[in-house]
Amino acid sequence: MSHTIEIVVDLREGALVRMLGLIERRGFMPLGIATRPGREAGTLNVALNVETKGMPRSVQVLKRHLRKLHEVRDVFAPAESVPKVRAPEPVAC
Amino acid sequence: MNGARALIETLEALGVDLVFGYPGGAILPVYDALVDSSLRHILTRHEQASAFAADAYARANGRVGVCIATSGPGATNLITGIANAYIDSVPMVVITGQVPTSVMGTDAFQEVDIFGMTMSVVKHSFLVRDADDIPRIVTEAFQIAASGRPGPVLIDLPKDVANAEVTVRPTALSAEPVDPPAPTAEAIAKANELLAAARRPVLYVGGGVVLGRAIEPLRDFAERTGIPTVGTLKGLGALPTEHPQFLGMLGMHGTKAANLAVQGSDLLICVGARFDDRATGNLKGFAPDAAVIHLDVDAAEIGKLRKAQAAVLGDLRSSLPRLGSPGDIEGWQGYCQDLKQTHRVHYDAPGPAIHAPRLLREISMAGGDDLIVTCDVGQHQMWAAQHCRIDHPARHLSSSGLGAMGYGLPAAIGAQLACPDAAVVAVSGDGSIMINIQELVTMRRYDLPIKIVLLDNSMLGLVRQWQDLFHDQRRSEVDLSDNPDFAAVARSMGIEAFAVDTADEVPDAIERLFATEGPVLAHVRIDSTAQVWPLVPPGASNAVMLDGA
Repeated sequence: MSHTIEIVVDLREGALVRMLGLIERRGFMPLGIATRPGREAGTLNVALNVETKGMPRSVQVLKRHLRKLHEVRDVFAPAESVPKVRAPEPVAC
Repeated sequence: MNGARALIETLEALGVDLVFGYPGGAILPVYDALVDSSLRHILTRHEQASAFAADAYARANGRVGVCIATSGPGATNLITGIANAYIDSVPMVVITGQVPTSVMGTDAFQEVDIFGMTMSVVKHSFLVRDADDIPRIVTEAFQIAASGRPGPVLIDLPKDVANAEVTVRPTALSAEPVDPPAPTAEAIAKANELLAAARRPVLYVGGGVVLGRAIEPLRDFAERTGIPTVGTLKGLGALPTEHPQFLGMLGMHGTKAANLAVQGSDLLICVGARFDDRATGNLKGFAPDAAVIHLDVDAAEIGKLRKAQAAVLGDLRSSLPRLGSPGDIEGWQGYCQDLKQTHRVHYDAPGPAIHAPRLLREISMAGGDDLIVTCDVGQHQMWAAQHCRIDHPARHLSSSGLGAMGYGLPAAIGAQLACPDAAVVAVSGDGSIMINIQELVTMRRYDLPIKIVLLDNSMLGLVRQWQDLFHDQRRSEVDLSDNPDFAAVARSMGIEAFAVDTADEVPDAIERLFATEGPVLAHVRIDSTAQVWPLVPPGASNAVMLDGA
């Protein structure tokens, strides 16, 4: 399932890499990325098309993870009817 | 004043008085500035130990731990310790030297991209490009590390920036953590609706309670409601382990009473825990009939693994007192007490061999109210969690999420420096102790009176147990029968040491441990076939507990 997420991020060293790394680590694959300067100086608007890898993951949980990044000012993600949260199968080890 | 001096003065201005570290080329300006500083520097003998010690220092006294290393291998050696602090949410500021900016990106001597390497295991990180930014960045780093859900923050400092002149003086700084918001009235109302309807509630307590400084509100809530309580590895001691309502640790090596109560519950009140796989077993089968009230400061934890019918996001100190009480749970309380009684641990193992669970329990009983137990990772870690008396999570320091062997000795160093008057016992195994055994020298160097209890089964015991149980007894690389004479190794590093071989020697050994003024190691030989029970097999529901019977 794919989602479009919009992120407003401060243009600081490592900000984009940190953001993309988090997205992949949390189970989403970036399929497309478009950026444009943000309204405020020193910010960037990032539009990302992402797809869940393997097990379904909640884009709302991803949004909350992204909001924890210090460079991230805001995140807009489509509301999910019901977050798809499933047990990891099999359990790690 | 140069950047390095500004860094040290900023640390001083923020109230830091102790740092752990190991010097090297790119961090030389900082070590030069340390010479004229009021900061006490603890030289560990490996950077990983610096990170672990800073982590334990933070856990034991609630302050932000600080560790320092040079670029390249110094920085990479910190990574396990940084990851440990990240997974266990420990406030830590990590300062690494970096090669000069002019050669960054050229594969210079001792250059690694530690900023990039650690991105997934830090709460935030800074690469300092301008020396004038140092006071602001260091202050921000402390504030980020300690605010909300704590975690490690990395500051990578290129050598030329450390040597550059600064024009901004680090004065009147404050890095007070930002208090999390109080939960909404709607969230509390929903939680109270679930509570009022509950007849079989269980309080599921994690490490977030101590991180959120919410021990007292948690205890008040537990005692006011009488709800049976279970704890995660990091949550042990939030309600004292000897408290009548406490059923034990839940999960893979949890007690039967704790797991069965959770499985039978109709409401889980999860406080500062994260439904970790070691706690839940197979998530689909975890507490299958329970609604969930999830109280946490981290929005990303809510709904991550288990849907919460009531999500109470915010400061636990504010939310816990606003929770109401369940309905009539007398029958449920009685059932849980029966579980506890039926599945209580027996410490009367026959024969002359030392029964490690009993030994650890007796040590924890003999150590006094302020005893701090640090653990390495393996069977001994689980026995300590299962059997030690623990009155507060800050007095049981264990590498919980990462499971990093080698944590125990440096953690004991950090804990002893954080709490100089407390008795500190480091429980280790013959596998784990070899990961950071060089830290015996650090204990001697600073004359830290740490009591080391080395449980030696000449095996990587927990791996061996899994190979025996789940790999058809095909033992692979777990035999450690060529271990050195640990007592002799300890003595060679200036540590008093003695052997304990039989159960009848245990009382004298415990007395000697606590009577010794300096660091001391008890080399305890145990049965190489000893097992940790109960055990929930990997991937199974917590209802399926092997107990060796």
